[in-house]
Amino acid sequence: MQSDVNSVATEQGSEFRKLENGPPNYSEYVVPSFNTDFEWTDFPLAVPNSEVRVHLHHNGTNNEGGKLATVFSMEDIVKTVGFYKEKSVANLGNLMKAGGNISNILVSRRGLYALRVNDTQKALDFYDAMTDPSLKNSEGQTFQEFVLKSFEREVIKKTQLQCGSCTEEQEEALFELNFTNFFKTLDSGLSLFVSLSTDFNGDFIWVFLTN
Amino acid sequence: MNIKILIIAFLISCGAYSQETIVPLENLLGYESEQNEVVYFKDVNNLLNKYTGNWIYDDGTHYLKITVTKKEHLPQDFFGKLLNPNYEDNLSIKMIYKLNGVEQYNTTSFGATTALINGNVIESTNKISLEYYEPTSSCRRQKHANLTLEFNPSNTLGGNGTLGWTRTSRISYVSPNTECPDGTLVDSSDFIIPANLVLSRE
Repeated sequence: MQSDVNSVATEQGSEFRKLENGPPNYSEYVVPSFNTDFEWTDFPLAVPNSEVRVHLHHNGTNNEGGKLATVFSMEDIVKTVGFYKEKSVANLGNLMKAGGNISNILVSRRGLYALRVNDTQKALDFYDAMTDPSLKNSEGQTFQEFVLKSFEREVIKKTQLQCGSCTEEQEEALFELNFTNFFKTLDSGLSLFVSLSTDFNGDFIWVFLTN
Repeated sequence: MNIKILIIAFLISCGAYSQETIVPLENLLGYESEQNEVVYFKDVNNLLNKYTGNWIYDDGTHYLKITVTKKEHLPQDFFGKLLNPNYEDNLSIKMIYKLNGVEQYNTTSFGATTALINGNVIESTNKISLEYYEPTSSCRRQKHANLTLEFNPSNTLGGNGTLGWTRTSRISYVSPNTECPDGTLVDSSDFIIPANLVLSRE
């Protein structure tokens, strides 16, 4: 998927579903192109053996010159918990599987990032707060507006300010740092990982960034 | 009895404020706070004052009247969930927008702090960036935007200056197929107030 980062103008997505007997261990469901656009991917409802979702943030530019981030968006973070909830529903009555061992992986020109659930209750609370339009603070903001405002400022604007005339690679590294710091403050019940390189076998080397 | 309560409240209030680090609002993005430090990003240099008051745009087709208010010492938490910074001053905008004489939006009855347009990222002495939303009956909008206000001082003595209004889209990552909790779709319509305007002081 990463080899497509410069050649496509819409996101791409795949879901990997664990098979009972291998090899292969997983089947791949490719999200059809009509369920993707410049800045979003619509995955279908999770099924009982849904395990890993992967989507691509490409290098394209929209009509107003906007580009996708090389890290997860806030929407991706919320959707990770949504994925967990959907799989829990799909496995209703099977407590051994439940939401289980899901991963949400982002592919961008910088590398790979992954989100996994580390605290179920925190994650579900975070999801409920982010999707409840009636939950408002003293400012009249929903939690989602509150978080999006903070994300825009603490990650996007802050990176622009700090960067000035830095290279694209330096800007991406700084964006990752500010995103990681911001992610930590969310206390969302999710863990963030990054993989910027592979080992001798071509397997990705994953590094834990923060909870 | 009431006087005692007032004195206690005053002392508590003083205690709370005395532990805050006051940082000029223009340093909001560059300031690195210490762990557990309570920061108040305050408009100590009164950079927000020039935007406040009533401003109007009217070309016969589009009519926009905005009321810009400065809010002080707003807590930046969400029921105890804290994201930096902890307190700050900002601007909030309430508005009436008419298209061909027909009112489309009226947010003047919104609570003092529930305006849909608010923010405080100072870009330069006369330019500020705010979060931008227009009213919707849906649970949320698919589209996101920033609003930049630029104050242009008058060249004439006693002139009021003008206010540049520039809306720029942000990548939202939200699919138009996203459902609200009640099962309806999010509002994927475009914003209807013109993106570029120059307003005059009322």
